[in-house]
Amino acid sequence: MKKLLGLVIVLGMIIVGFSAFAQEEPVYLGTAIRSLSNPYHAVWAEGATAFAKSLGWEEYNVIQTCEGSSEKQLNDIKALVARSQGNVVFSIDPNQSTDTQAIANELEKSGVYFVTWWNKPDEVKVTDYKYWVCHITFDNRASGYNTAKVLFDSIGGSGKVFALQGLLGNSSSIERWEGFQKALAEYPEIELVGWQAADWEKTKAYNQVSNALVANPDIKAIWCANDSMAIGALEALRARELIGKVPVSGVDAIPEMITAIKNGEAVATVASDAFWQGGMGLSIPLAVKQGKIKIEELPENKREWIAETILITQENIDWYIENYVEGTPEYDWNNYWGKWVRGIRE
Amino acid sequence: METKAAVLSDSEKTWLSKIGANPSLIALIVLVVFFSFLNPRFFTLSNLFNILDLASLLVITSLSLAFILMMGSIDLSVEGVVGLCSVVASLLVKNFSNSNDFGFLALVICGLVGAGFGFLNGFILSRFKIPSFMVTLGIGYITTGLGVLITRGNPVVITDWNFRLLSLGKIGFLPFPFILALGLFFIIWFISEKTAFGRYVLALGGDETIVQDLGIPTSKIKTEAFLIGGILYGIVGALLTARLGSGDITAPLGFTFDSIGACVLGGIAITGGVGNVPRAIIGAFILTVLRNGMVLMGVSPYVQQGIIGVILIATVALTIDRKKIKIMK
Repeated sequence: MKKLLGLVIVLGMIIVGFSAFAQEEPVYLGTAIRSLSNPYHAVWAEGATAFAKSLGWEEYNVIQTCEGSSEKQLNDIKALVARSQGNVVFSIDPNQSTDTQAIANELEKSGVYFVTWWNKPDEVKVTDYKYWVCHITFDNRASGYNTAKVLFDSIGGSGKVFALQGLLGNSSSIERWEGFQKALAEYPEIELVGWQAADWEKTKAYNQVSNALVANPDIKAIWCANDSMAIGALEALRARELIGKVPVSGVDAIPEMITAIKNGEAVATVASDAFWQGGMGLSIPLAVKQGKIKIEELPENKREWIAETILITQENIDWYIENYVEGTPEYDWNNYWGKWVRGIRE
Repeated sequence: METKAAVLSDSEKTWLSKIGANPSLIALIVLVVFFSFLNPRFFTLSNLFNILDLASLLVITSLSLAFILMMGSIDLSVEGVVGLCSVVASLLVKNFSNSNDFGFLALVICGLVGAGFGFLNGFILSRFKIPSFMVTLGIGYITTGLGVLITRGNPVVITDWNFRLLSLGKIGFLPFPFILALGLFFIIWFISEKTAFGRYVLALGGDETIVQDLGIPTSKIKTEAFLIGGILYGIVGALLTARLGSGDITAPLGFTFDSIGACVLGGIAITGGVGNVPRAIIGAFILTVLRNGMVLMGVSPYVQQGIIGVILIATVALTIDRKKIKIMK
């Protein structure tokens, strides 16, 4: 009798032990972005949270905001690595291009898999690292180029245009400007009467456009490197009763811009799908950590790549609202390469 | 016979205050003449309207900083409190997120919210003897955090077009925000020149120990000064929402630098005890005119911020009272 009881207990322990083994160990999910005070990153955070929820790992989901400080970003990352004892993966939007290498070195040293977005110096190669899974960016030049073309077409391909750049040091600002210049070269009857830097901000854009409208009262269209500035420009136009008469373009597809395009006040923006960025940025390094992706088998163009964006204009605005605003598209977090367009260096 | 050195050290607060004429006003006039020559569009009615409109928000925040700087303190919570009040305003008037419809009452409520945080600034500063630099920085972070918490990062778009008249409206050819700023200027100027409180504020900046020895309640004065500042920030927050059509916690980015810069450019010493309220307004206009003029002149955007920085450093160097640097206010 005693022997039978003993056997049952041992069997029970073996079964419990195996079932604990069979469940996947939760991993900390670190998202490092600039600030929740802008809609773009706010949606990013929602995507990350949705991904964590899909695994039932909400308590392991950590959103870190650096509020524009490169130092804070690096420190927060280090702190989470320490707290999780290395059992973490990261999705990072580096504060500036120059920070990417420091972050990469730190995580490589700690043996933590991660993905970076947007900003990276060209000379730094992801393939030189074992733990840096991917660097994903969007075609900023294409964003600048396409929105500029739509803007120029909306005024019949000729006339005076004013432009607002973002923070002059950001690579996205520089690249979107290059795209704009390329479009400008293709439209000989479009004249750029001036440009200012509004640092990605609504209020600064308002002030700059107010001044620009005095300097050049016959501006026919305004190109902006992002939507927040485009909204500032629209409000400055409204204050001078020019809204709807002078079209505006931006990038980011924030809710206010979607409304403006629907109202006919703006003509173009670009969506990079921040929700997808939030979730996929964690799904990919997690897949590597769990052995579902083997990093050594990834070709170079899957280590540094460009992801799909959606150009939103007055033509497809209703479709976009139906699918992305009123509904949320279905995201398959295991479809790692679904939005892959091409390698960065191609 | 007094030695030259003794005469200088006795009255050498700043050499600016010894000159009867106001150098900043002269500077403003010179700038206006200069830019008018370089671009005929500068001296037009359209640009005057533009400058008044752009300067109005800065004038109001500078009124607050004027009081606080003259007292010898500093206020780094401008952006946070203005941003939070912008968010509060947007949630109180008709908007897309809730069914509130407080209309112009929102302006009053924002003033009260701002007053609350201003009071906190002054209270913590005087009760716990923490330098204003730290207190206001902390309150700035707290208010920004609250704003983000309330909105989860998404600006709240408003639909109350009457409320928007606070920014879009005009009386005659004057933009309404400017008229509001002018009204507030006269109130603050009156408080500063005609009340005992106003005189104590300046005295505190001059030499706090003397004021204390005279039995004047310095804590109360400091708290009141920050409270007034808070009310002004609340009003600016509501105005910003009216201007931009949404409550956005990031909208006032850059206001701290601009407001302190305006006071300094106008001739209010950053070390306290020197200046008066009109100087802050002159400084606000100098900054606005500089930015407007540079755009009209076609100055490269790459150097514009740098030029303003250089002018500011030069002005601080000329107005700072080096004897007082060690005292933390």
